[in-house]
Amino acid sequence: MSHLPLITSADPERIVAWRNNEPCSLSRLLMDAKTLAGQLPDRSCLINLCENRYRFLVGLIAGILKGQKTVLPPGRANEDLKRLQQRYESIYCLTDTDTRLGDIEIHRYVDPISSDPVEQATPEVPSAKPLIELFTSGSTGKATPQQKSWGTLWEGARLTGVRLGLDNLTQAAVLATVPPQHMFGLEASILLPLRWGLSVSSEQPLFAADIAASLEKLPAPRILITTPLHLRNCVEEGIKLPQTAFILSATSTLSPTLAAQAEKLFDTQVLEIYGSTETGAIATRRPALESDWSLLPGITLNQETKAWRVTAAHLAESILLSDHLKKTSEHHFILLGRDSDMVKIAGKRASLEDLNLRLQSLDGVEDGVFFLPGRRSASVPRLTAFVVSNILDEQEIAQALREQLDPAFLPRPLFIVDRLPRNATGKLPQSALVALFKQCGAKQ
Amino acid sequence: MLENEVATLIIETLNLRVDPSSIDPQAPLFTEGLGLDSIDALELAMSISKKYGFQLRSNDENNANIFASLSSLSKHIESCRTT
Repeated sequence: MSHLPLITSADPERIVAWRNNEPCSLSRLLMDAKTLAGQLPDRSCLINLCENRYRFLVGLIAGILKGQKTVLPPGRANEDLKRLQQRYESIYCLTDTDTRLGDIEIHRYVDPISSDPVEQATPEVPSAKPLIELFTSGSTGKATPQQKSWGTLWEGARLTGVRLGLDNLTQAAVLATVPPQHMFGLEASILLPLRWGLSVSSEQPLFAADIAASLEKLPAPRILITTPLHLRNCVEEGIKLPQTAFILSATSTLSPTLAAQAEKLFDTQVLEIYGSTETGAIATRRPALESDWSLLPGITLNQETKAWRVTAAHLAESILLSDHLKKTSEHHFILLGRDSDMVKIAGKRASLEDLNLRLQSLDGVEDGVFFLPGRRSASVPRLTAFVVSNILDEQEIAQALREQLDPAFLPRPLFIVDRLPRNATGKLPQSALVALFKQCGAKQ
Repeated sequence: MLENEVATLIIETLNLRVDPSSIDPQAPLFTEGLGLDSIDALELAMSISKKYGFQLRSNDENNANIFASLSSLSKHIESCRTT
């Protein structure tokens, strides 16, 4: 079986991470990973929930050293973890917080006592073995596992890095506002740094002022990995950000206006990634200047009857996209929209059909449907839901849903109604839901 | 009273369907209690900065305390507000 390096740089003194202003060398990282690997229980799979990005990275490497597959759950709801427990008998959570996690086995991350790092051999990683499992809601709406080999991730990071010009930025420090447990965060804040020898901040700031402060702690050149939501917060707050080489956004479409404002305000380039959990990053664009997406080198798009198929040498198989798009040249395309059943909120995808099924199967719920109202101005779209129940009130239904769903999909608001406007065939026409939404809103 | 004002701001910003007086001032705002998430926190931060003229921080050491409850958020706003 062929192998790839875990990290491009073999220099033990190389700075690979920043923790509270403190640089952390490659040998420190490898030593911490080896220590952790020695403490982890003997199981086949490890759910890495570490929120501190350095600890996540240590956990990931420790899993590789110990031959355990890293599983990144679709969400934090207890139900998500329960399903993983059913899927794998031998699984546990690595966590660095005190959050309650149902009855799954926990290994609490404890920072190793600092001692002088001893030079460690850089591990080799089998390139074809499934190492990381992530989930996507796919076209069926059910969370479907996606296996990622090191070979796929490593080559994906190479292609993206070449496009972003990382060959000239190998001293850069990366800060990300997205968690490493999703595909974009994993690729941009973990794989790009390992592949290109960048250093990464352990922090994951939320508010504009936090982002500025976390960037300030890093040496130039800096790269900010973020989302349209965080970027809008920075622009609206009129915050001053330290100089960045570029800002990289993904998870939902960035408006050209916001991108242009951010470029001007922060005196930088704002670049955007297009991809999916199944494919990883496949295209980029600079929304302030261009509407067309430019495919990464080596990635081809072919139209089939109704969908587009992505093929690339580093992907184990070709993949059908759930988005509608139109090719504008051999290597360029524009996005036209999504499959109408799919909703995407704060970067997380779900199928309305699946959400409806989960709502309808709650004890005490007679009927129910989720509905995505027209967008409130300059705001994140939120789902609403209409529920028929004689027993439960809004709070009780919300509580039951919280056990089932990622918070991003919880209805805001949830309306109790006498009946749903189902037509003769039992379907719920979109127009009837729009009318019901207006009616419920007026009563508020 | 500021606490009521903040409760109303939270409800209006996040389009929640609860009565301001029904929010327990000591109950957690996130995860449990109102069940807010980080998207809500960002929306809330923007409303707070518009209304009270200061920017919320979460990597402050007292971060957990600020969002612990309506009561703690109100106290934080009281001490930081510029308007």
